Amino acid sequence: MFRKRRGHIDKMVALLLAALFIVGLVAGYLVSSVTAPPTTGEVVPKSEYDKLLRELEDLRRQIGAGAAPVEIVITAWTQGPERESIYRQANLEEAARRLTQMFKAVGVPATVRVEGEFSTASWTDYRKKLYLALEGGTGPCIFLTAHIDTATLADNGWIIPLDDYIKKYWNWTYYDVISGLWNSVTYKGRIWAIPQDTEARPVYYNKLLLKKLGWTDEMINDLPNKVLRGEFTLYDMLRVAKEAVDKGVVEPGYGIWHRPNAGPDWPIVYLAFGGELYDPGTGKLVADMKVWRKYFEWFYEASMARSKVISDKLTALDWNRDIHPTIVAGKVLFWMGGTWHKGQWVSSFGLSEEKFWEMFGFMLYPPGEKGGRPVTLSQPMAYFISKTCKYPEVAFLILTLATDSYLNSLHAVQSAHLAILYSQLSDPTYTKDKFLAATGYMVEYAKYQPLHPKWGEYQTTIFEVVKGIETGAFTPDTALATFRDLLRSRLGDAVIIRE
Amino acid sequence: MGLSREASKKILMLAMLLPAVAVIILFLAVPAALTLLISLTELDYRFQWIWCGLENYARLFSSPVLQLIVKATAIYVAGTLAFNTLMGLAIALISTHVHDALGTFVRAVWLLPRVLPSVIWALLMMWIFSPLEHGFLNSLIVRAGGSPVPWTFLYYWPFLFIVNGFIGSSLSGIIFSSAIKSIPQDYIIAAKLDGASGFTIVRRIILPMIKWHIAFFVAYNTLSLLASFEYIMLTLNGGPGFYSTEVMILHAYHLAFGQYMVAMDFGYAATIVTILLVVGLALSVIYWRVFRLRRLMIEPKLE
Repeated sequence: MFRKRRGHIDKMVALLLAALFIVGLVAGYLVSSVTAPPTTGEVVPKSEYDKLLRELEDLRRQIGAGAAPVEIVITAWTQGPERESIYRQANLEEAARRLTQMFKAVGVPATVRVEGEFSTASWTDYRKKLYLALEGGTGPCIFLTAHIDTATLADNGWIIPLDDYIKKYWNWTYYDVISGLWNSVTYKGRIWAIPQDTEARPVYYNKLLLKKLGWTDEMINDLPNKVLRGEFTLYDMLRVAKEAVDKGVVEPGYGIWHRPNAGPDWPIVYLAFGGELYDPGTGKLVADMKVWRKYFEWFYEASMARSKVISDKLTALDWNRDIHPTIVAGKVLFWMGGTWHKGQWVSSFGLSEEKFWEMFGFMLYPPGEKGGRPVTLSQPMAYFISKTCKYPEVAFLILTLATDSYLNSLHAVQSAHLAILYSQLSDPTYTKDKFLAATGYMVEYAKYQPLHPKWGEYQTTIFEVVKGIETGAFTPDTALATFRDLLRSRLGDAVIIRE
Repeated sequence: MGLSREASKKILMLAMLLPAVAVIILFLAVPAALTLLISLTELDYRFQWIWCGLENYARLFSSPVLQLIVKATAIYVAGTLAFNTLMGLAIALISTHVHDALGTFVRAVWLLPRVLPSVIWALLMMWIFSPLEHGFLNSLIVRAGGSPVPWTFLYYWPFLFIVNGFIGSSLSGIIFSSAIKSIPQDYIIAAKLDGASGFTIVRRIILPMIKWHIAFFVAYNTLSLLASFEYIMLTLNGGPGFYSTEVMILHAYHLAFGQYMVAMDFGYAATIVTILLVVGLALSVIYWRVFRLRRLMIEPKLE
């Protein structure tokens, strides 16, 4: 009797659970069919990839016919995280193929192959993996990372300086590298890496919203020039954004948006107020408290507590779930972004090329004060060669062949990064891209982050304090005091605090 | 001759205990000792073992954010513990007082969050409680003509209690309901005959008879919450704002493994973990005394 009842209950439970499962499936299907984003095409078609593999196989077979061939494998790790930057890896592979062809032409029985992977993990995860591998001596021969890692990499003796090679192969391609970029990879008097790409971080403005505010086309198109002339300051930007909020053109908090997390962009406003981050004399980081006060006051003035221009929820949002879709939907007036965002919007967020030009304009970060110089920040990516690399010169040859106007333009156009070679500026692949042509001038106004092992902590601290201001935890005074305490506690004597 | 009966009995006992002792030493004592040792070094991304004495502790105690992370930890542990215990109790009481099939069904459904991969659970909860208009709750509110509520932004602690509690309370619910089910029916029938109300039965019979289970759950859950951070990390990640939900163990995680440019500060992170370890040990002793858990271990309190 009992047993029978138990079985009955089990059946009931199973039936109820199954029913719930089916209801869930149907609901999920309905929701997903309504909300599914349009799918985008693959970055590299598989057929192309297979074709290249077949070609490589052919080459190998031909060389194998003569003397015992040597296969040189160069390991290489590169990083996005955005998928659009896959040419960072593909160009190295292509360079290896070109080198192999040269060997073949002169009858050298050797093939060169690049092995490794293009990573789309977060920067934190990529760095962790890279550093641990380098420390353990199992790192790749060539790797790509941001130029700011140069200090850490060089101080630990994980990489080799490249000055001698660069001199040796100068006439091949290096004369063509835009000269300012060498500064971004020079540390303690030596060059440690080959620049791979660069970018600018402009402020995008929504033209349609400015029109709603009563701006004429002429005014809108002249805005970048007004910034260049130093006539439109950060406070003017704030005032326009406040007006848009007050008049209901954008929702409160949607006047100015910035990245939601720690990253290289945070010092830009400080630089726009004329701040300095590095003292070349002592090699120490610098915090000019008078400028930081202006910085925090600006963010406080923009916060929900005052002008309601920057949302207090902004730092709780997610890039792909909230930030990009909201900007592409045209709800934000000013977006402190990066040139590659345009690439992401067009390829992953359903923004058409025409719509982009109709909706967005872009300008440098306005100066903090009237008559000041506008500014932006570049964070070039660079290729490094590790100390454990068995064939450093072959690796360097691959970098040399990959530093090519055509190959680099393929990368630049697909990922909306800026040129690193003078010849790219007249390369048809590059110049047919209207956006790259229009943002190219920004590189002249670009500053770099300081090369210092403790810079990461400095930068993260800026973000934490801004987050506190925007969410109402700090006034400019308490923000400044907390910032000073945090810098002292985290950086010790690596930072010079100027009062 | 051989050993005396007493001695061989002892050796047998030791041999039987050995596997358990080995596991405890290998997987519990050794990592704890290692953490303590790491906290005395400058171990970072270079993995070099450089002794630095109590420098990390001095750094922690002078850190401007120490007060904030301690406060967040206290709120998080106390709030989630209360949610888990009370919600578990409610599930147990309700699901044992309805039709058996329905009761089992309710408990089975309550297990769903626990069997979901944590990343998916966190994503779902962030979507439901998103502070933006396209969040699930807000889209309902907006459609009904209301104005969106910034859930995770204003009510971040209740949000975290719910995200964690829906998982934690399935365990307490099962423990408590099995305890309630093992209460002999005679007591309840007798009470009903005497005219006791449902509330009186719960208060005077059920709660006293399952107090050991509650005590065990509270002690166990406090300790596991001290070391729990994955759902905070997957949802608010210490925000919104300046260290508002950055609990100690999450701060240790961030220092060791996961901030943009600040990571792999293993020595300093181990300092925080060591302090949590000491707090956990102290709390175990206090619970042992206050709940008199020794008596729970001696004889079964429920047949």
